Amino acid sequence: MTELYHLGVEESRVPPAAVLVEHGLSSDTLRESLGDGEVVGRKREFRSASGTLDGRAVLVVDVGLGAPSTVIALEELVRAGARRIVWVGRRRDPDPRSSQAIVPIGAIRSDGTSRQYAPLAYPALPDFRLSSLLREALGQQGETRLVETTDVLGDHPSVAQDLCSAAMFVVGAARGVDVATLLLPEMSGDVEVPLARTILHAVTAPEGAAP
Amino acid sequence: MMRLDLGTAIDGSGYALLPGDPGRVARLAEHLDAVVPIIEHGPFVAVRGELGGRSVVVSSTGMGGPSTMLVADALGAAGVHTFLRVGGGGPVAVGVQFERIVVATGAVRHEGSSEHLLASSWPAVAHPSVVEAALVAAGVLELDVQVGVVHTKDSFFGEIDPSSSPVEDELLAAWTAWCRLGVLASEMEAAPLFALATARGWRAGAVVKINDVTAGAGKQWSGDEDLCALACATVRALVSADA
Repeated sequence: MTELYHLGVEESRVPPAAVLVEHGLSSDTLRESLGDGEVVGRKREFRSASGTLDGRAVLVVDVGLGAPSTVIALEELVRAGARRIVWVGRRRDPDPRSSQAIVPIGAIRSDGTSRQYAPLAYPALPDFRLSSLLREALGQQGETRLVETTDVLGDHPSVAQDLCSAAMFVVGAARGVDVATLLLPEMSGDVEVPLARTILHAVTAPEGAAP
Repeated sequence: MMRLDLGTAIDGSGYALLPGDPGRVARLAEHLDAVVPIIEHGPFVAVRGELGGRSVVVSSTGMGGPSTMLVADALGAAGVHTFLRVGGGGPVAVGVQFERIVVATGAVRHEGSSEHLLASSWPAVAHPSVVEAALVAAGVLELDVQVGVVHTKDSFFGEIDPSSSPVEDELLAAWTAWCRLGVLASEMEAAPLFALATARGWRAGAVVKINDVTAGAGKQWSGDEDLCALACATVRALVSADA
């Protein structure tokens, strides 16, 4: 039995579907929406819990901050069999009153991590169908736009920023797995229950499922 | 800078189909009603007509980013807000079949034109509504399409004969990266078009049929009827969704 080096999760406990939650956001509602919940790993900045939604297994992982750390989690999960992954993080905004979630259609690659997977010319884009599932479910309550992924959040960014999307998208492409991200407003604490269910349904839908 | 003055000739068209090859304009125009010629000059052949009750321009761009940006910028200045590139390309990743049609979600910016519009870190991304419309259209036509990233290049011979380039090693290393990243097709116009749309607040997408010059040896090219039908059905789907 092989344990993933940084996540501290047995490889056999990793299902195809995973949700990664940025430090500072609560994964309570995601985990509470699942049946058969069990903590399966607790190491470094990572806390992993398995569960099922309508009989399909999902892993919910509390991760740290920043692409270098979060991509380690993504890589280890993919090596153990994860195939559909959504990262939930916070949007950092020019307008701090922005109250809507964002489903990024792509990300500006101001991060370092993605450059160690692909030349800068390669576009950081989510899996189209997975992000469409999120976009469709959010409807008017979500914004569809580019975000800028950075390693150091700017004082006066001109677009919404985050810490992971670009890296997640590029690594997803490099590994041939479906990745999408969802950004919640900066002052968010918990993921609201309907949104938690949307995310879980999206990652457990079969590959290629469209809205 | 050279400008093409298309102004009144496009007569309020909001949608444009952009083939690279001037010869493809007529085949796309077969799907339009009330076709009126606009221009015929070298690489630039354009007509306008009606699709789904709305006015649509079909304009060739010639090959490559520079002429594509000239045409798209001129059309945009005249009122076009939605652009669909309709073209051919070569296969990149293993498993991309001859004559398969690729619906582009984005493009590798392996070209110089987009640098004049967006910083290098910005993605060349197709507008999701255009991608959705193409998928709806493919469903209606029962066409089995592939969806993903295309590679846009400035050097044709750099792709098909990299050993002929003084920067052969660089080109081969880049090509290996595109294959490993699952890039589907290689062509020459999508990235600058997508970058222009992002910079100007327009919408753009691309449908590309695999017409591999090298691996197609011995294979009979069946023409672009399905590609043209898909492109026009995509615009119909957009017109319908926009209504």
